[in-house]
Amino acid sequence: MSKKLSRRSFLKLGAGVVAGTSALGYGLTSGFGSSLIPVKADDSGEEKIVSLAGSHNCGGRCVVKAHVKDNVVVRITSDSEPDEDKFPQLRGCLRCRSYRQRLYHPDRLKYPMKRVGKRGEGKFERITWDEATTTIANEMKRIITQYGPEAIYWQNMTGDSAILAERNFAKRLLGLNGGYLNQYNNYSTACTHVATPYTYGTTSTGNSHDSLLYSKLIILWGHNPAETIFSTNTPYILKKARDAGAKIIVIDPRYSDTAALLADEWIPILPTTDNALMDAMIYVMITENLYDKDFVAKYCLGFDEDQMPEGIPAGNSLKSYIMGVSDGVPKTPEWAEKICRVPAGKIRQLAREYATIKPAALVQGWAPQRHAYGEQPVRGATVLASITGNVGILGGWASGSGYWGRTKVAGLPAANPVKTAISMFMWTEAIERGTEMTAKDGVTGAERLSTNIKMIFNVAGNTLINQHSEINNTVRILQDESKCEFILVADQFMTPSAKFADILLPSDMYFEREDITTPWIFGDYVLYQGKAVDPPFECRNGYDWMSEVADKLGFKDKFTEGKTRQDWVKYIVEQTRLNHPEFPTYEEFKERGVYKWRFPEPLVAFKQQIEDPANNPFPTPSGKIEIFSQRLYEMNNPEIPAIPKYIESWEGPADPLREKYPLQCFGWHYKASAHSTFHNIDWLQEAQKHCLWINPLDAEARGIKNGDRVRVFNDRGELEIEARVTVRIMPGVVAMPEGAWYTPDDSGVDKGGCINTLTKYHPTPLAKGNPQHTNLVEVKKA
Amino acid sequence: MIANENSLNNETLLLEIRKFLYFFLSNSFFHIPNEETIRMIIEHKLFAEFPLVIDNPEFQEALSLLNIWSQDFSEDNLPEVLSVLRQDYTHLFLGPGHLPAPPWESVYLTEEKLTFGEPTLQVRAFYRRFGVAFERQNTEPDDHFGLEMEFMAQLIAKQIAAIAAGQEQEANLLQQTQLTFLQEHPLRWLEDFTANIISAAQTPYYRGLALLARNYLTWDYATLQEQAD
Repeated sequence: MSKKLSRRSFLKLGAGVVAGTSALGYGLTSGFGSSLIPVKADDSGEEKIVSLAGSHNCGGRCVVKAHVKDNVVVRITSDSEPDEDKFPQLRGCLRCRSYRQRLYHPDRLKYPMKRVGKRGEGKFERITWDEATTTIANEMKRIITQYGPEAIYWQNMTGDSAILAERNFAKRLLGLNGGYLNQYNNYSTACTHVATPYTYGTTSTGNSHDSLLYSKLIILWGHNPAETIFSTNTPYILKKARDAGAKIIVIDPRYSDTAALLADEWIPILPTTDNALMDAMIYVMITENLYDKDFVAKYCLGFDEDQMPEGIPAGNSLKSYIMGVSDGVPKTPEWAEKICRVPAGKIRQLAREYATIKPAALVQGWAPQRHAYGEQPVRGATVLASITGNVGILGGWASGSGYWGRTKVAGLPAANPVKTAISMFMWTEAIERGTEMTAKDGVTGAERLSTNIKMIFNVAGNTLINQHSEINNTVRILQDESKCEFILVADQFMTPSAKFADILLPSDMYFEREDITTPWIFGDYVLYQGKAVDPPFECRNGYDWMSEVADKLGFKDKFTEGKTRQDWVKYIVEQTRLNHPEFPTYEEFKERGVYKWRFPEPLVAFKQQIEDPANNPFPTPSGKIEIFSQRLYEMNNPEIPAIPKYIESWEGPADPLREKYPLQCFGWHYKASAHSTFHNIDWLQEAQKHCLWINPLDAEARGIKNGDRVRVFNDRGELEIEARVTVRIMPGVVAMPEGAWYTPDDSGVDKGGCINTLTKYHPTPLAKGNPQHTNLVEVKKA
Repeated sequence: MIANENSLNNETLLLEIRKFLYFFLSNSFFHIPNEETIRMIIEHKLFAEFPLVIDNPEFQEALSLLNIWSQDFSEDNLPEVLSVLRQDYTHLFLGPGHLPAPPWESVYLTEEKLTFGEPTLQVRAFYRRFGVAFERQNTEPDDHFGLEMEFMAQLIAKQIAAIAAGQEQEANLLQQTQLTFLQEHPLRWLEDFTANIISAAQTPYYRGLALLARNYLTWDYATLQEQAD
């Protein structure tokens, strides 16, 4: 190439100018406009540190410090409070420490968009915020007028789980508009939420986690706090408990990080068979006379035939079932071994240890209840805790939901005039056949739904496609624009759900808004979320644009009550101070970034019921721990037994479908994401890659080598993923992390490897919950 | 208004052309196409009678792609042509979703491939040394390709003014600055950025623009360097 204008080109240049003169003039008269404007001196400041906290749907809540220079977050650090033994720091993990990767990701959503192609196709056009909020307001008005408020669905959304998250303002907005269809349960805890109260009358069955320091034996059953981060410092407490002499046993089909790092023993078990193991443990305790007879006599109902409510025919007690009186099958360890693959000797050892080492904590994770009959392991574990006398004592654990809390942090007021509710899992069905749904489909608050769902409000959530069961079914339903007529999505990235938006809004992130957050339900602390930088491009906070929608609907004053976002933060602090006068003022809280309550001793669930039962009955109909539930009995449904039982599961190890799809497949929370949040962050994929774990025996039989791309499929869908051949998963079972983004190719094969391509839409019998870990699949080399 | 060609000596004429081209590139990359810009291109036959010819096959290919695009255009199909261009611009630079050609320097020059990285702050500091700042610097990165092009145009405008005022030293300094800025910023990511556009663009317009930008900047840098030697 010529480095300078050649003589010829220079002449040509001269000649060209004549024709181009007016074009040059266009530039001269600033026809192009200007975006670089004159400034005075350098106005860049010193580095400042803003205290904030992650509030995506992670089991932990940790302190994050943003180092901001020149209005840019240049570095992220974590808690700088004193690191005391009893009150350890709340240090963030890789997820929050990698937050710059999200904040400054070039693919962030930046402008409001409207769909221009078919729904789900992913074709959008930029629009103004005014057009976006006008469309939303008009659709809210149109749909409520045409179909009534039950046609509007507030989707299950957890991308931002802070107190002033946009999902909470969305409730306020939809409530003031005339209401919306309610939901109960959530994708994490549906079965335990519903089943636990049938034993104890409440879901508040957990002790504060520091109580584990008093346990001599800790059984983590389907529980993986090292990766899920089930409260920031649970792994630290478990490590301390073990150092102090507690034995820790992990029961899991997978040798999880919790098993590897914190446990003395790992007991692998086939998914869906937890109750076979539980039944056999009870068998051992009964036949070897190891259960706590005094405790059972004093506090329980339904253990044996002497302890049954009036009018129940003989043979319905727990003991009758376990000993085989009622069905001719004694639930021996040998019986259980064939079902769950835990050796009979191991079952005996586990039963003996749990019954005799006191106090012992059987901490039930939420994984075993996200199964086809997820209600059963919940009830089974509560029964084990009860008959071993581990309820209501320091170092014990009542099992079940495990919720606990002794502080009362305020929330955002929001009222819904509509009382009708569905299980959060059944919204796809309510789009297709809502008006046919009645109480037997889990509808509450009304006999039946008055309309199908016609509009979905989805702000900061990926359940619309990615996190809900059976994606290909969901896609089919949502693609039909005549069924659900309007879908609003606000998010930070183009998630698989965002692709199905009719109006797509760019959200801010934490770092860009002020808020307050608390850990799930575990932990005596509250975190302040400062605003470190402004939202980029045209990203806006939910409260901000919803105020505009409220204005267009004529109720802005009611929606905002004249408050700015900061006013609401102050409101939360003030309301919390009414409950807890010791809680700091807004200014103090903001300065420090965290408030930790310092209670003198651990919280123990049911302590009063155990110490003074006469004055403190259990909140059940009988006032006892209901091993046998008359309420369940009266449902007269073999899938909902009155005592916990092993029920052979569809797509479990005994399903004949195994001939076609021989492997059980489940998902787990891994370190690289919090559900689907962070899944697009390269750094975290370097830390832990999204892979299918498969045992060498199963891999070899299929000619699969470590690192191969494999196809995982069943009748519901097919995905591609990399194989990790490892003995860390038991034979017959494969597993992959949940949260990967569904990315179908032209033939519908999910190249993103989202497990919900394979999961089944099949609500559980009682809770109408999500059985997302119950799947049969086949795996082949891609 | 620009004077006719007689009042411009060759040096100033070249500066005016360079300034125009940087403004044009700035506008083309920083903004979604609008009717006014498209009309300007067509009315002035910008690509058919391009004010600069560089003896380079790729440069010629750029102009030929842009000419092909221009020829498909008429008054009747303006809305359609504009709509196709806007779709392509949206797909390349706005989203939603994965951007095939993110238009920010920091994404190309940082290991993390993020916006608002060290290069963004370096560009911001560079602008500031010459008395300007991006009006939305706290919410959008300063190192957008279109902004870097505008900065070049502004430096040239200042140089033209300095020459007119007889401030030779100032004019030389401004020319040296153009060389430094090109070298330290646009040229370090030009190749990768334009390659992304060329492989992802759905219209000859954006493929042509990418080739034009790549070859014009390379030529301009070489020319400035030669003059500096």
